[in-house]
Amino acid sequence: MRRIHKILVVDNSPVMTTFMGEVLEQAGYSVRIANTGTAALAAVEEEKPDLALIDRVMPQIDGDNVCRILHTRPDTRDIPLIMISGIAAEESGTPVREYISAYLAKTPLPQLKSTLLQVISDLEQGKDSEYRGRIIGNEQLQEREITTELLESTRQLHSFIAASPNGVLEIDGDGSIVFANPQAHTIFDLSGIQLVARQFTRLFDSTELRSRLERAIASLGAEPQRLGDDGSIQVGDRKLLISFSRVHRGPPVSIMVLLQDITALYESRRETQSLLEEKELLLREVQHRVKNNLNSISGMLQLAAAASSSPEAQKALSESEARVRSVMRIYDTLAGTGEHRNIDLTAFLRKLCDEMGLLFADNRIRTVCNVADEAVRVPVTTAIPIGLILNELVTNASKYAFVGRETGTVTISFERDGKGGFSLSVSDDGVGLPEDTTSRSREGFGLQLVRAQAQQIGAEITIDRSAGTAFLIDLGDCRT
Amino acid sequence: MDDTGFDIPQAAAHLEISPELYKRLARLFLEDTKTQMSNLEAAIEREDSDQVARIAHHVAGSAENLELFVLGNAARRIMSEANSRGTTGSVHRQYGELREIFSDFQRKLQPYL
Repeated sequence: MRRIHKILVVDNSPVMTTFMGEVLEQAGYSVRIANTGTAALAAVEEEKPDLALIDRVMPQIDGDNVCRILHTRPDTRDIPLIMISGIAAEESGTPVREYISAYLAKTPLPQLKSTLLQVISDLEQGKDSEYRGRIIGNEQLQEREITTELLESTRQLHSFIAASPNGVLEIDGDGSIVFANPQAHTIFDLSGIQLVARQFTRLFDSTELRSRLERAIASLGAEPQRLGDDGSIQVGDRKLLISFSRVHRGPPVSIMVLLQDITALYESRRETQSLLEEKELLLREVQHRVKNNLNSISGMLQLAAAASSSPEAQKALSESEARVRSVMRIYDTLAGTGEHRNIDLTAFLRKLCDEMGLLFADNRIRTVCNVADEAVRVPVTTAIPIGLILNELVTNASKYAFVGRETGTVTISFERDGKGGFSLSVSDDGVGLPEDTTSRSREGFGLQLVRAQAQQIGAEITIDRSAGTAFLIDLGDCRT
Repeated sequence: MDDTGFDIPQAAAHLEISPELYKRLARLFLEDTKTQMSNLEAAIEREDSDQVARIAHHVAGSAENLELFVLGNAARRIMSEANSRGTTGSVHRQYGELREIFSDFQRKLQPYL
């Protein structure tokens, strides 16, 4: 004999809970009502019933899950469970779980009432075996194809979610977990039973993280929200990426939580970052050494010039030393951009113009820089010869264009040529090139150097002597 | 039982419950179904066919409990349509029919409650 007095009735339909409550109270039982699976678990926690009457189909934690949870918990596994189902006809081929004491089809109310009272009375008398493993009242119902299809599609959906490599949780409007897939069990190292009905944010130890997650849930709109890209969400040894999205606004509110384990990804990202930092450090070291070497070469040339007794040798050595310094300047400017493969040529030219302007300030030579106001990205291998050409031409102008004059202006222009390419020009308002440099064979070493650099990048040089001297360098489409 | 006319004592006797309990159940049914109808309309608007089918299942079940089969059948038609073809134009039309049946039922039942 089993004494049954307190009965918990769980159904999301108020019509059904009222009807069953009335029927059971009239029969002398004490009834407690719960309208959701979560409320049912809370009610059991508060006061253990002698029997639970549970609706099969409910939103979020359905009857099947409530029964499973109650059966698994040691303190509630002895509660007799009666399942009442509105889809019993469609589930006729599905075996009834062994821990369900009786499975009743939702038949018309008069019949349901008498069946229910009979079943409870039989359970009180310990006749459990009469009801195990079968659906009672099913024979009077007709299977509805539509419900069968709906059940099948739900089963399919559940198997997809179960097979997902990511953790999937569903939480309700109060933040309680109503569903968890196997991967979520692994992530939190908790079984489904331990996860369901637990507050989602309580799964995390840090108070700061909990409030961050609560804020994200509270402010969740139509667009999904993602947290943890920075590796800040940690569960045990795992780093998680958590996405929230509203399944529907309710009622009942349903939020899907997707948990991606990014531990490996995060580690590899951190390793890449550390390698990049190491590379930057090495590069800076190499740049530093190159600069030191250039400095040493410049110093040796200076010493050699000072030690030489031949004026021609002194001149040649001094010019070479000046060129090494030019290369150092270009190298410095390039290193300052922080870019190593492609650089913005206009920014590079502007910086170089500023440097050269400072250099020539004492000689009262003004440099004017007309560089197009657009970013033109070119390979570093193109930028270096352009820098050397510019440096050589401006230095030449400062040395030879204004002989016998107090002041002068060197204008540097870089612009689109109207043919899809770019042109660079260095012009001065000086005395013009001496007549004897008209022939290429008579050009000085500086001009030969300029031509060699131009050839290296496929540029063409023309010289305009109509007013002062203008060097026009057709760079073509130097971006490629 | 026909949904179009009401004889509360007869309906209650048919369900083997008291007229008072029938009235309480009917009031709860009206209240719950009003909420479900708004939810159903919102689910149709956002083209959530899974939720449409679930709510229609709930409305149909509640109506059939009180043996209101005209209303129950109208809800089942929506359930069937949503499950096979999603929230197409037919679901909108069937929802309009369900709403009309429910309003009519509500108007006729209200004086007895």
